[in-house]
Amino acid sequence: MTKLTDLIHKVLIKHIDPLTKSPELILLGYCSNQTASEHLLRYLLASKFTHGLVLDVASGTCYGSSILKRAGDVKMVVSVDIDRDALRYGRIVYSVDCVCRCYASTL
Amino acid sequence: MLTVCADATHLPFRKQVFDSVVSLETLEHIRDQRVFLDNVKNSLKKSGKLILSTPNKMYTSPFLPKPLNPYHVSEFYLGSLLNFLMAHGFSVDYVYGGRRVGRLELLRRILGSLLKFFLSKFSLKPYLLDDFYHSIYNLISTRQLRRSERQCLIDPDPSLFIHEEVKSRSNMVLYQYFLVCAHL
Repeated sequence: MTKLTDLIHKVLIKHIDPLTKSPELILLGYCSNQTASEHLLRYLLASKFTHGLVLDVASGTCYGSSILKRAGDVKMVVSVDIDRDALRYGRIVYSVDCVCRCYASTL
Repeated sequence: MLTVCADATHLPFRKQVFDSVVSLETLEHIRDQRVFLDNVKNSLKKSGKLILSTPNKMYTSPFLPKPLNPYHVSEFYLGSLLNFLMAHGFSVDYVYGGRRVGRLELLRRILGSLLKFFLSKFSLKPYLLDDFYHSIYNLISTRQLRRSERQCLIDPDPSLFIHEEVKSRSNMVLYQYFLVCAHL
């Protein structure tokens, strides 16, 4: 079984702070690391209960779907969001090995 | 991973296909919450699980008629959330609380939110209060503290798993948000 902390590191991006020159790990799209870690930890908790075919409503950039996919016995994750650009970003960043295009049905 | 661009109240899926539905911090942003939950219920299998989280109204906008966060449509106390789920035929297995706060912090939140509410009544900008808090915080917080706050993702400590199962009713007001695991 993968360690939970490893799951977090899978969705983070290494970034070097231009001022302090120190490397930090960030989750794109979030202004504060506190908010980001809160959202990540919530997905980790959710991953304890998910199995089979999972629907992730309001997935945003799909970082959470990526966590769910990697944890436990999840076959596939379908991420739904109303923002097309966030999903486009998620398809590039988080689904390297399992890209699948789908139709779009917006309001 | 499959990505579908859709409205949460018009999910374009067949009935009873998913084993689990995860919807974190979504419910409070949706106007037709009943329609949303009916949609979710339809797409879940008979034995399927719903994992849902939403902020605690007691923390975000206690006793106020309208949420202070302009992007929230309506927020839930734990009791009203459980009633809402049960009215749609879900039975709740677990309730977890996240980010426990102290009683003093909760009192500060309640007073702060009442103050913000009255400020907005007198057409003053409620975020003036937030700016005030932040300037005070920046004055008193040491460099060390701000650094550790920035680095909380670099070293995810197991003690950060602050989710606790909510058991007693007296404690349920002290969490910033709830995560509920329910089945049909």
